[in-house]
Amino acid sequence: MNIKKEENRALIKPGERVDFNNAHEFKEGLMSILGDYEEIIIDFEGVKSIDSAGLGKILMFQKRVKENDGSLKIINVESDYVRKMFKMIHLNKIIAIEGF
Amino acid sequence: MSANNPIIKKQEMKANSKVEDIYRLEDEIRGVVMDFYQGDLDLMILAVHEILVNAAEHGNQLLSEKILKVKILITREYIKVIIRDEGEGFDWCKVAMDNPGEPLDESRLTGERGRGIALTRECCDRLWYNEKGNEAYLLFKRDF
Repeated sequence: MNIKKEENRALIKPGERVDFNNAHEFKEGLMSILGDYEEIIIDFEGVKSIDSAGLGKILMFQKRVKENDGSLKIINVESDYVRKMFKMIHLNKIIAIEGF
Repeated sequence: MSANNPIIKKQEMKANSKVEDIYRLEDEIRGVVMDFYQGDLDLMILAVHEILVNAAEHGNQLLSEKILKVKILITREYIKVIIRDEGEGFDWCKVAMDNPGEPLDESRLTGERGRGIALTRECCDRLWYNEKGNEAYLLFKRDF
C-alpha cells in the first residue's frame, strides 16, 4: 500500500488484493489520513481482487470521511472482477467511483 | 441427490488454515467446477472464499494446524460445495438469515461473521449450515 500526500488531498494505492489478509493494514492506512485532507482518493490501478473484508473497510472509511466533512473517491477500477464486486453491492450509490 | 439426479463428479480436498492455503484451495475448486458451471464463476469463487475465510478465521481461529475440509458434489442440476472447519460452530440462523432479501448495506458489510455470509448469499442459490454451525453448504444451480 502506498499513500501519496498533497496539500489538500491524499491518494491511497492498495496492493494487488484488498482482502481479509491485509484488510487490517488497509484500514490503518486509511485511518492515518482521516481528517487531514479535504479529498481522499483510493486508486484501484493494479488491484485485481477484493472481498467482503476489503469492501467493509471502504464502507467504514466512507462513513468516517463523511463525518469529517471530507470527500472520498475511487478511481482507476481496471479489474472486471473488482468492478463486478462494486456493482453487486451498489458501491457507486454510496461512493463516487470514476467510470461508473 | 435422487436417482434422477446422480452425482457425476465428486472431489474432496483439505488444507491448513493459512492464507496461502486458502488461496490454493480456491484455485483448486475453480479448476474442479469450471467445466461444469455456466454461471458466473467469479461470483461462485467469491462465495467459496468468504465461507473459507470465515471457517479459517472464526472456526479454526487461524490456527494453521487446524484443517479445512472441502467436498464438491456435482450433479446434472447443481454444484454443492461443503466446507467444514474444526471449530465450535455458531448460531448461523441468527447471523445468516437476518434480513433476507434486503440489499447489502454498510451495517451488514462491516459486521464480523455476518459480513461474508451476507455477500455469499448474493452469490449462490442457497446457503445453509449443519446444526452445530461448523459445516457450510453452498448450492449453485447449473444453467443449461
